[in-house]
Formats: sequence, C-alpha cells, structure tokens
Amino acid sequence: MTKLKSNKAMLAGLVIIAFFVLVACLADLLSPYDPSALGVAYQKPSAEHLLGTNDLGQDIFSEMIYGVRVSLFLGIFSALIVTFVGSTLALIAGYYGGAADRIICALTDIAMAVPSLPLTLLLIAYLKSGVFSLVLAISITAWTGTARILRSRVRQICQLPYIKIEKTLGVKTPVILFRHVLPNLKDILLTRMALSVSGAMMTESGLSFLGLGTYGQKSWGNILHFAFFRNSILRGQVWWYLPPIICICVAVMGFMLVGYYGQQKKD
Amino acid sequence: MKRILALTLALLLCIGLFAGCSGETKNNGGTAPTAAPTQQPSGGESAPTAAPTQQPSGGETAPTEAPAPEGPKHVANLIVGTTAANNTFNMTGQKDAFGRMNYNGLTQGNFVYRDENGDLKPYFFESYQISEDGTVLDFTWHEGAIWHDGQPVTADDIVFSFEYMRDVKKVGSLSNLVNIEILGDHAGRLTFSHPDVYYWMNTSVMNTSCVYAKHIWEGVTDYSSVTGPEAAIGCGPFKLVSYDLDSQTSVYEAVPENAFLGEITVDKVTVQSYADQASLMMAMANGECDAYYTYASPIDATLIDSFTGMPDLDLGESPFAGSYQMLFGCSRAPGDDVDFRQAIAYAIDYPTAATTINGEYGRPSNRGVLNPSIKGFDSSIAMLEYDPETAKSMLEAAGYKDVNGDGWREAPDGSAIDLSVIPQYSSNMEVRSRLGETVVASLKAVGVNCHIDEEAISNSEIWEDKVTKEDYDISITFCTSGMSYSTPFRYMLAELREGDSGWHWGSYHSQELKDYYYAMTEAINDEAYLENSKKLQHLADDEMFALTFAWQTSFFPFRTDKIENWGNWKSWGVINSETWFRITAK
Repeated sequence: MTKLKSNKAMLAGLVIIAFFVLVACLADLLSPYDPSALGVAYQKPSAEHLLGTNDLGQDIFSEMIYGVRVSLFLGIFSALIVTFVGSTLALIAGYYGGAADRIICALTDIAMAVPSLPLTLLLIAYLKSGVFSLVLAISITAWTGTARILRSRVRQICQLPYIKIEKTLGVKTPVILFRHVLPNLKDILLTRMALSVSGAMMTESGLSFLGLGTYGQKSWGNILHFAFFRNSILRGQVWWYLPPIICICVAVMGFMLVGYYGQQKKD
Repeated sequence: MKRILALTLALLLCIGLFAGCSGETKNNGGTAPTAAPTQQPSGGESAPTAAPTQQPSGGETAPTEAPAPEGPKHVANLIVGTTAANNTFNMTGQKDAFGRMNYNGLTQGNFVYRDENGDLKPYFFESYQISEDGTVLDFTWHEGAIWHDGQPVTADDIVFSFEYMRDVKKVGSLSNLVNIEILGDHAGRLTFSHPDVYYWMNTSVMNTSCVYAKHIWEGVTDYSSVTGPEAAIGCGPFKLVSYDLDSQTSVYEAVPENAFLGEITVDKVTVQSYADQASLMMAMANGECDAYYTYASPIDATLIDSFTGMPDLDLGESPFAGSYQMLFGCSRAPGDDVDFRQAIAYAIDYPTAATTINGEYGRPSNRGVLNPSIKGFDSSIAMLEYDPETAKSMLEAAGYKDVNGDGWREAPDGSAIDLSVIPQYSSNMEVRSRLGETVVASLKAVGVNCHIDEEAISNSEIWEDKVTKEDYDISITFCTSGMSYSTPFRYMLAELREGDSGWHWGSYHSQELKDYYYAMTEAINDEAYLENSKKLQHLADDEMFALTFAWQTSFFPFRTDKIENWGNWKSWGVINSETWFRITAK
C-alpha cells in the first residue's frame, strides 16, 4: 500500500478505473433516464438534462453512463482474450523453444505484419453483427505484442538455475509453467492487460464512430458517431460531442497510467 | 555503402515529393478519340473545343468574349457540387454523379422531362401526341441532333433505342411495346398492346429511357460493364470532355446542335464531388461551387441551419416528395392482423421521427402514405396520431395482452411477440438506424417487444433477401422524390404484374392494392390517375399496411451572386432539365 501511495501516477490510474467500474456497475441507479427513452430532441443542458438531449430526445447524460458499460466490457473482455492468447503462446514458445518457438514467432511476425484496422473492418463486415463479433475482431491481431514480450521473459526465466534444476528433477511441465514461470510474469501480464484494455477501448470507439459498432447499445463511440452525423460540431452542440471524447480519453488514460507506471513500480 | 544507399533513397524520395507537388499535368487517358472524354490528373483543366469562350476556372461565370448583342449572357462555367462519386461514366445506368446528372438530360437525350409543375414536356422529342386509348404515341424529334462523337442521330438510332430498351435492358414499361415505326424524316410511332404510353412516359423521366447510339450499343448485352469513352456518348445538350478521378471532377461542354429547349446558355458544366454534405456546403459558402445537386438527397436539415442567412446563398427550400415509410410484415402474425396494425399506428412517436428525419422542418404525416407535394394527395385523410394510450387500449381490445406478467404483450393465442424491425440497408444508414430506434422505443413503450435485426442492417444482400422473402415484421424504407409519379405504393406491392420488374418490398397480398396501383400508373389521363391514387390512399388508411413517418422540407442550395434565372423546382432543386437553357450570368 505504501508503494502504491508513492506511485501517484498508478494510483491516479487506479482511481480512474475504479470510478468508471463503479459507474458501470451502478448505471441503473445513477442514470436519471432510460437511455433509449424518447423525448424532446436537441435540448441544451439543464437541470432536467445535465448534458442535454440528442436528436431522438434521449438524455445524453444517461447515454454516457450506460456507455461506460459497453466500452468497459468490450475493452476488458478483449483484453482478457488478448492476454490469454498472448500468454499461452508465449509460454509454449518460451518454454519449449525449437520448432514450437519458430512456428509461434513466425505466426506472430505474420500477424504483426497484417494491418490491424483494415483486418478488423473486414472481419466486422463478414462476421455476424454483435458484441462478441466485435470482441473477436478487436482481439484477432492485438495479441501479438503481448506474445512477443512475454516470450522473451519466459525464455529468460527458463534459463534461471531453479527452473533448470526443476527440469532435471523431473518436475512436470504444467507445474513449472503455472507455479514458477507464470507468477513471475504477473507484472508484465497486468501491464500488458491494462494497455490492451485501453487499446481495445480506442478501437471500439473508432469502430463505433465509423458506425461499425454494436447496434442499439449505447457506447461512447456510438454517441460520438451520431453527434458527428447530426452535425453537432457545426451547430456548436459541445454538450453532445465533447463528453464522449473526454470520457474515452480519461478512461484510456487511466488504463495507460496503470500500464506504464505499474511497470515502473516493478522496476 | 550504407550511406550511399541512404543518400540514394533520400534523393529518390525528394524527387518523388517534387514530382507529386508539380502542377504540370499529363494525360492519363492517352490520346482520346474525337469528342470522347479524356481522363485528366489533378489540376487538369480541359481545353474547350467547341465553345469559343474563355473559360476561367474556380466557378467564374464571366460572359463570353463575343456574346450575341441581344442574346442571353452565357454562364461560362457552371460548377455543380454533388456528394455522388465521379467514377462511372456510362449512359445506360443511373450510377454516380454522371448517372444522377442525366436525370436532368445533361448528356442523354431524354425523350421527355417533368417540368416544375410535374407535367410532362418534350425534350429530345420535339412534339408528341398520345392516342385516346393510350396505346399509340406519335412523335417527332429534333432535326440536326448529333451524337457526341459527331455522328448524326438517325431514324435507325430511334428504332434501335426502343428495341434495345425493351429487349436488352428489359425496361418494364416497354414490355407491351409491339411496334416501332418511322413515319417521316423526323417522326415516328410507338404502338403498345396495352394502354402503356403514359406509363412509359411517366417512368422514363426517371432516367430509365433515352436515345442510344446504334453504332455504340448494338450487340452489347452487358451494357453496364462498358467503361470506355464510348459509354459516355449521348445526344444530350452537353458532352463529357474530361474527368479526373483523383480530384473527383468531370467537365462537360455544350453541344449547340442539341439545344432541345432553346439556346443553351451554359457553355461548360463542371461536376465536382465532395466527400460529404458538410464539406460541400462549406465550399459553396466560399463560392467554390454554384449549386448543389444529388438526386433525391437534399442537404440535411441539421446542417442547413449553420448556413442560414449567409449572403448570396439561397438555401433552395421546397416541400419534399421523398419520404421514409414503415411497412408492416402482413404475411405473418401479428402483422397479418389489421387490428394490430391499426393499434401500432397510434404507438409510433411521429414527432420524434419527424425531427429525426428533418429536424424542425419535419411534420407528422397523414394516414394515406402520400405527401402533399405528390400529385393526387388526398387532404381528406386523417393525420397520424401519436397516442400510446389509444394504442394500448386497441391492443387490449384486439387480444394482445400481457398474460404472463413479464411486461410484454402476448399474441391472442398466448404466443410471445418479438417483432423483427429491419431498416433498409444503405451506405448512409444513420437516419434509418435512428428511425429503427424510434420504432423500437415506441413499441416497447406500449408493451410490444421488438428488436432491430442486426444482420439486415449490416449487409445489403441479407436485407434484400429478408425483405423479398417477407421475413420481417416491420420494415423501414425510403422512397425517393423522383418516384413521386409511381408513388411509394410502388415499393409496397407484394407482387408485380406480369412482365414488370424492379424493386418491391411489400408483404400485403391484396389484389386491390395491385389493381389500384397499376390502374394509377397506367392511367391514360389525369382523372384516372387521381381516382386510383385516392383509392390507394384510402386503402392504406383502412388497412394500415404501411405508413409514412413524416412530411419533409428539402434544401438544394445555390448561389445567387454570379448566376440568375435559377428555377428551384420542388424536391429537385435548381439543377434540372431546364437549367441548361434558362440560367444566365449576372
């Protein structure tokens, strides 16, 4: 706890994340209106509607609150997949080496060479629409960085004497991997995961802004998409387009602070 | 070695950079055939060949160097801004800016056009006469008309055009054309087996019919895939002289021989595509283009407010004949129950839908589907009402009750209801998506469970498959303003008459609907048209198989500082079939 207090940047990141997680969990309580309920369109911010209303008369503040859920869910779920895939491949490549390592490294290189955004767009066009397709499309190439960094670390750890001794003593591979190697990766894993969440949130926002996000569910990117499409920028409706931009920035910053400064803490 | 390599690469990059920045032009398209369009890279201003005028670029509308002493002051270069792409230049289609501009007979010799009041007027035809029974059309055409490659338009071309449209292009309104005769030097006769003359003429103004050059199109069956310069050759008042895919510009020059409606008062037309309406409007506000035109797509109401009150900019406001519709899936439960449909008609939040579609200019519609700006509109039909309480009581009375207490109504037989709503797929889905949200929220507010079919909105093929197989409960569609003669009822048909082809998305299988629709479109006089139009509107009111969300106002802006005598046509704007012969420089 003392260490955490001394790492103010990471603490700030954690506070931001905790805030958004809390908002997501309590969305039903915090939201003054049903975000899909129709009302009087294009209202300016007032005591009744803190951030005004959109083109359908929906309360933008309520949309923002519910938008946390989609953005966080997509970000965290994608990051879990990315971390799982990346760390599994890294463990196999780093521990076994040889052909397995070469194959996984080649696979990683190929995946890294594929431009991720066009591939994501292509997948979204072909996959059945829905949240899980979006998660899959976001995750499909995002695992490469995690896999590459973790593999190097696994190889380092596997060269340590205690791992060699364990191998010599015939300790089973799963025991070595999950008892001794994986725990030594936790800092990098958490760091990469935090960064993956921010990356996935940015991708989701970008896709939703392009109109390729989840339909009918409020997300920050989706709010921004309609704000842009309904010319809110030209009409000076800052209360419509600015809040999602701020929220995306702050939430991403929160995860990045944890990601970068979490690593620093270890160092 | 590395240093030499790096220096060489840097040098190459610099050369490439300077080459890219060069203002010099070179012709990508090679030597063009006589009068055929040339493709030019960015910045390429084509040298005029026919017009003896100095033509400055940048929207200038200087008078000609030597104007006729008392003639109209010609517009040297009319710059039309559009959001349609400048990629395809093929006479046989309606695609892209080229196809859209040809609704106005720019390069095509359209036989007739619809004027400001919606009346048919001759264009390539010099005159025409329809027999009393509506089966025979006698016509004459303009003597001296030429193709854009310099060849004269002949009687053979006229005969070929009708045969080509009927037999190759399969134009539905010509399916009953049985005889094409040439009666004199510039006169001909069409004979139909059914009274289809009006039907063909009224649908031909939708860029479905024009004169085709026999020497170009004879033997061509896969006409839409022709991409060479010959594909753009028509006999309209303007010929395509160059286009530039990079800058998304196409340039057209006047062809004085094809002055169908009098002297052509525009020497050159430049069609400039913009990425979106916002950038186009900013360009127009800066004087970079003179008028906006994109067929049936007026400037969005949410954008127009930002340009209100600007000097020299007329917003081109007029009532819009296009509209968004909601079609019930009438071939399956619960949409097959007229009581259910009537109840739902009270549940939709029309004021919100109207605002979504057209901002503060949108107004809820009446129950008869048609707009007041459409010929035959029946003002006696009641307005649609947004009254959720009435909707609830009507649903209760019809047996749609929440039996199991889950908050959602069940069908009278106790089965669960979860309506599938499919907004029509479009590259520009925003309004349709918002209407989908409005419908879902409105129905949920009266206890009817429903959802947007996400598959349908992600892919045009899936949407088309579902809509043609009647696999929907509620469909949200759009009818363009150009369809005002056929009316939105065209799309509401569940089946077409024999020989007819084209889009139809309805599921209300009613002989009355089909009979009234074809009796209206094939009417041989206004009386018959109006009578059947009214029957259709009353049928919609009684059976509620479809409804229109809102009546709209359209905006087709234009600049007034350099050009005068614009004619802002309702739903169409200032770029229309008469523009080329009426506007003059100030």
